[in-house]
Amino acid sequence: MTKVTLEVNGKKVSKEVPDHTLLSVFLRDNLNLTGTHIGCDTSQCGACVVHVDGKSIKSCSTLVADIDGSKVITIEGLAKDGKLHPMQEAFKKTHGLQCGFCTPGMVMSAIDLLKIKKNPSDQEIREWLEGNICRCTGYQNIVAAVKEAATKM
Amino acid sequence: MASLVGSRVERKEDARFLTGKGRYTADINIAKRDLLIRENGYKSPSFFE
Repeated sequence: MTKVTLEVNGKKVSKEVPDHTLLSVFLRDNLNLTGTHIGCDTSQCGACVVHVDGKSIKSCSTLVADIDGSKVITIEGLAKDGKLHPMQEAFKKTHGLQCGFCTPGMVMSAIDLLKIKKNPSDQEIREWLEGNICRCTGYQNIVAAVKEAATKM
Repeated sequence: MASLVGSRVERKEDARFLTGKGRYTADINIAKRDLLIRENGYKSPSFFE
């Protein structure tokens, strides 16, 4: 067992967990933050992407003990005072989601892209989101959403 | 009344999907629900929220 202390969506949390606990499992089972999804559990699908200290990572291939002391932002922590983050707003506006399962990962990844590159091209967006799979296959509108958000962020 | 046919309609479910409040099968805590059912009997799904 390891004691881990994290700041999740602005709140300090401290828990004793087995050494092998993954960040995705920790968020979902220990903190009840089920917005972070586990699609494949082998870091291929990207439904589990969260931000750790501002960078997007796949939480299903990260040990929570490894990131002790970090700041974690999940999909639940994006909207401020009931107001959606510009990226969430853009996904809504451009119909960038169908079933919504891949959406948390897509949104978290895309926000990190716009931090690195202000106005990415279609090609760059597609390459960045290579590690995020949408089984509804709504990629066209996901790219449109990221472009829309790029004008707002 | 403006016709809904062919017009863009805002999806009600998007807000919850975008904020991580969607409910998927994997989000159900089976062990907890099982215990609640044993203690309270079968109830409507909203009871277990």
